[in-house]
Amino acid sequence: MKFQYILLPVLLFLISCTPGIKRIDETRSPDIRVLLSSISSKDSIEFKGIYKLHSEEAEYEFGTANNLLYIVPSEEGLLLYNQNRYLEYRNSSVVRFNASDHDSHFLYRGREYNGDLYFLISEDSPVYLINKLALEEYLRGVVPAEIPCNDMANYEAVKAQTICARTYSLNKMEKLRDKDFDVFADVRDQVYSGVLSYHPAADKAIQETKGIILTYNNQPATIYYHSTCGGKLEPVENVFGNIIMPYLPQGTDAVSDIFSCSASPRFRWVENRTFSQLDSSFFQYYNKSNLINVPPVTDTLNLQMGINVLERTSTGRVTKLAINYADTSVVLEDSNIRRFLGWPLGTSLNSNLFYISQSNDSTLTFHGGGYGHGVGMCQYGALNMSRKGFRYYHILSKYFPGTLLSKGY
Amino acid sequence: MISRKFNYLISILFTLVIISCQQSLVKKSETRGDVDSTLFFKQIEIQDPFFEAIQNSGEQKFSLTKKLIPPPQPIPESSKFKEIEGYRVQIFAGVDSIGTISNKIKATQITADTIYFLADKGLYKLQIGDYPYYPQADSVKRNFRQNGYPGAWIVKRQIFIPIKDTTGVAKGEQVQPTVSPNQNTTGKYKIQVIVTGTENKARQICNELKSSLNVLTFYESAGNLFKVFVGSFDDETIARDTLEKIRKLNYTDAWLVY
Repeated sequence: MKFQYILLPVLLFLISCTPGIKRIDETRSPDIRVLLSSISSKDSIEFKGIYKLHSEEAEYEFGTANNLLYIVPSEEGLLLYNQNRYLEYRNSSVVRFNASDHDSHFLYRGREYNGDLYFLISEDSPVYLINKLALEEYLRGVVPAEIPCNDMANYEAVKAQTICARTYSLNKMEKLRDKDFDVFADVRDQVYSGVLSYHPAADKAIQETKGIILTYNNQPATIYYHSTCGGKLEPVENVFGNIIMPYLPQGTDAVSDIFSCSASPRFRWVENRTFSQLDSSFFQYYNKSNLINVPPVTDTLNLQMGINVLERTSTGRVTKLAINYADTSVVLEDSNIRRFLGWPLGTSLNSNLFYISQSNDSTLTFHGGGYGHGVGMCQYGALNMSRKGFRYYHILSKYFPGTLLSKGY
Repeated sequence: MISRKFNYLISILFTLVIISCQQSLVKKSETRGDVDSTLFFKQIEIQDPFFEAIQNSGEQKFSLTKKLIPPPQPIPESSKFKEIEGYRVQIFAGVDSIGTISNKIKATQITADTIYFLADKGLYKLQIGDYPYYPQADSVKRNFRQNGYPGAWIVKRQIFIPIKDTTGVAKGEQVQPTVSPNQNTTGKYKIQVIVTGTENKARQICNELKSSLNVLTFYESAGNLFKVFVGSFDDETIARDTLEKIRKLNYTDAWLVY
């Protein structure tokens, strides 16, 4: 009998010692609103699967007999039609198409997207086409577009990228809660390529890190990343203004005695710019030129263009570049330098990390390093670390030291 | 006795299990520094020529120049022909190309001048030319009207003529001045038709009068001017008749010199 009295508390104590059963986080992934396009002229969408349009009068079903839907924005609002339906909406309204199941998706401008879609019609701006879907689903279309997933040696970098992308998105969602949408679907935020870019390795990384984000002071950390730093990480305040983020590293980015991203095809690059190319850029951005739309010369004329590097950051990135041309003097700063020097017009120079040499009277040679702004995680550096056997938390602690891995939802 | 021993044994065993379950009582193993230590490699200052070049470049100044050279002068038009306003004689227009070709063959038997085969505004046309002066075209028109083309008419248009040949005849055919039986070069009377500042114009007028009136013409230089004459004539009546004809050709200032 005494034995039983002893046994009972001992058993209870033993049970308390067994490893705790993990609580299943049943919190659903929050929805993110992705701006796919600003529609200002006639466009179309093709449904692949059932989509339901809820309106005050009725509920319409698209995707069975009515696969294609034409979109015509006008001053008064929006016109949606196909062979069977003709629907008119006035300004300040929202037209929602809800996917009936997970397999339903829609095709827009050659890309397929999962989740719901809706049109935001306002008087002051073009019609917004917004894709609303679970954040985890959104990441499936983002991660493969941001980092190469084909090689499993890159897997830890893929996981690190997944956590960065999730943190970035969650941060934007919280900051822009009251706005029309959370993120752009292109490089203005993160490239979102939709269903066709889904990749098993990315899916696995998303599943394994489900809901995990980087936090700093119990808040989602502000995340920056870029393709190739070129060997030096840039302090955030030099690129994104007067903000202090102590967890973003700066200076040399190396593992042992090798720059982390030295395997990147853009680790070092050389590009030439001729007088004519720079004249075209000057015309594009300042509407002045000595070669375009000028009367034919009647006498030999010597044109001059002065280019001065005025200021660099501690890492060597050019932050001020003066140009004297066509009776005009301008001082370019930060990302405008890359835009001005980009060729073809409309593109950007790989990075601000460069020095210049003069090849001949009318040609400058830019010797550069890296691709992108250089702040935060260097993706090629992360890939290199992954291939060397580092784990994703090593990568993240290297590029975001002081942050914690936490459950975001 | 056995039961008590058993209880002790059980108690000791449970105590051991409990101790093993309490993590706080378990001695922690040393961290495996070697596994992750690559992350914390001692940072070595990497000597890189690229960053050295950036460091040495400092504030760089460059001056680009481009020399603009005037474009080459436009190549002059062919020196062989020039385009002027002139005349052609249209003898046929039809929708049937084969019929037009057969008419062209027929026209070659009537004239030695160039026969143009044109496709214009849905019609196939035959034109004879080129003639810088109306009387030439008129003469050809009349010839064709008499030879089976009553609808022949004169078309005014741009024509090409040999630049050195201003005789006004197509294909550069040089017209020799023809002298009327009643004319000679040593006659008492001659007609001054016009005075002009350009030699070309003087030559043109000579040729025009030569072909329309079939008379001897010439021009003389007088300082910066050129005087165009017709003649000369021994007979005053013939000279005055010719003067009248010349005045009817719009040379109203023509006058008789003797």
